[in-house]
Amino acid sequence: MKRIKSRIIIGTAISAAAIAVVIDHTKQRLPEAEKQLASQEAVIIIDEGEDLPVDNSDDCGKPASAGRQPSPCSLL
Amino acid sequence: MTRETSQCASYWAQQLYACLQQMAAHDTNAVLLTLADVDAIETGRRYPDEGLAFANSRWRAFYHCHQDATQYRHEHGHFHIFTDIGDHDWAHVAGLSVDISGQPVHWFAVNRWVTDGPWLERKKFLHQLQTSAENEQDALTGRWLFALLQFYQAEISDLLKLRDEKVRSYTDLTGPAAVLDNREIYTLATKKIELLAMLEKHLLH
Repeated sequence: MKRIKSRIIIGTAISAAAIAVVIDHTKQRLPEAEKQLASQEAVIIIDEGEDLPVDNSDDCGKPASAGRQPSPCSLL
Repeated sequence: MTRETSQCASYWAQQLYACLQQMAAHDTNAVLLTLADVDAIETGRRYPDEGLAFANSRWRAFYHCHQDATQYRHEHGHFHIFTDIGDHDWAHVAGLSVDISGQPVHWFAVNRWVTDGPWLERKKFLHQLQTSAENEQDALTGRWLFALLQFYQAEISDLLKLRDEKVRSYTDLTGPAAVLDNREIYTLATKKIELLAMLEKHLLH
């Protein structure tokens, strides 16, 4: 059935309705994101005298605590 | 819009539509494809971790989600898109907000401290696009991203112009370097995406 539906989509000539149908088929609910485990539940053991690790769990949309994280959305 | 620009937009509209048709045939979208091998998405984590390379590895992107603050009220997450400007330097081009149904809703430009790396000039962005070629061997999400970048190049160029104007407005108060490093300034500009209307405009006329 799915294969037949796919053929229908691909075989349809471009029209306003066809574009709408194609876009509608790409509208699929995304899975909800969970809070990053490392920031919420992981236990980090720090040796005496060792520096605290940098908190890299913040969102790149939250400038409030960004001072602790230089570039939250860098590629590298 | 010149005839050449219009033809270019029509070409990339067709390329984008072809990508969407492939996704539609499997009832999926670019984000679901990106997360295909992920058991559970975590906020703040990049997908894929090493970034998704496309257009002959001159462009790279990753997707991630926020815990609370977002670019858009119904945003699920966003792609951050980078381009290789040489000497192993990757400059951030734009963010692409995606809603909970996997549809692109906004382009946005962020301050330099957010993504680090070199500051991408508007002219350089256009040059990068003009000198990059699509690669049919790329993953579908990569081809979709590249087609979107090409199709929306005028809007992204405007976005970068707005970004620069915003920086200049802050620069009146303090120096440019201080603005680009100011943690209080995150988003500098946004541009709404009306994908259906844009595709209709360039595919049907």
